[in-house]
Amino acid sequence: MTLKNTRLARAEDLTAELRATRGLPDTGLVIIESHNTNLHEKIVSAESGIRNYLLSLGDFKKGKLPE
Amino acid sequence: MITVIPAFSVLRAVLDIYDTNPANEIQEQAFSFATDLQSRSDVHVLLDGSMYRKFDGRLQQEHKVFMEKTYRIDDSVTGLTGYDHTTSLRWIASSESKSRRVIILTENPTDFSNIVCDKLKAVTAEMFIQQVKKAQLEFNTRKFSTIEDALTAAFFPN
Repeated sequence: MTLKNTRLARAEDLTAELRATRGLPDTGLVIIESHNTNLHEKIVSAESGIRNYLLSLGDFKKGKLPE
Repeated sequence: MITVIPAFSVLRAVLDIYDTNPANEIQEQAFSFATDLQSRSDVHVLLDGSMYRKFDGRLQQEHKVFMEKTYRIDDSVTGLTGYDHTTSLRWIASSESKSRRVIILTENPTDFSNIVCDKLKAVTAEMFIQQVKKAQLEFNTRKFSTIEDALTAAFFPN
């Protein structure tokens, strides 16, 4: 597990250069991820929704959900 | 200052991949809309900790990092007996409405009719999305100077 923190941001608030280098859309919700070890940052678009973002981090574990 | 509090069915639509009920799609979409609003205005998404922690066994550590860094989690009712999903949410929403306007996202708004007031509304996912789109349109056409003002007018017209 290397993800240590996340922040919400807007693609439109990032520089055009940063959007281009990270392959981000011009507008919309983005998530800024801080990872360690080897400290680095990832910026990902969350335009496809929060559940899809979560699934991009890994599948949910199987098991019965408590009522 | 608006706080959106999702009910259990909404959280489940976001955090339960195995529930393939098509009705969940709209609830997940509403939750994503609320998260989007959080990134652009003074909107918080507040999770009832006693509900959220029911998903502990389903979530990978990285899921928990995102959820717990992104959303406020209220553990006021966690560990107490005698509270179900509805009564727990009622208590948290009422408390939150003392400091901020509150929108409960729920399949059953009537469950909260006894606490609804000028600062607290309970709406379905469909209604939430419809009102957010309306607010967005009114903000885009400069009827309101901020998206938060437009949201306040849409959800709290009195």
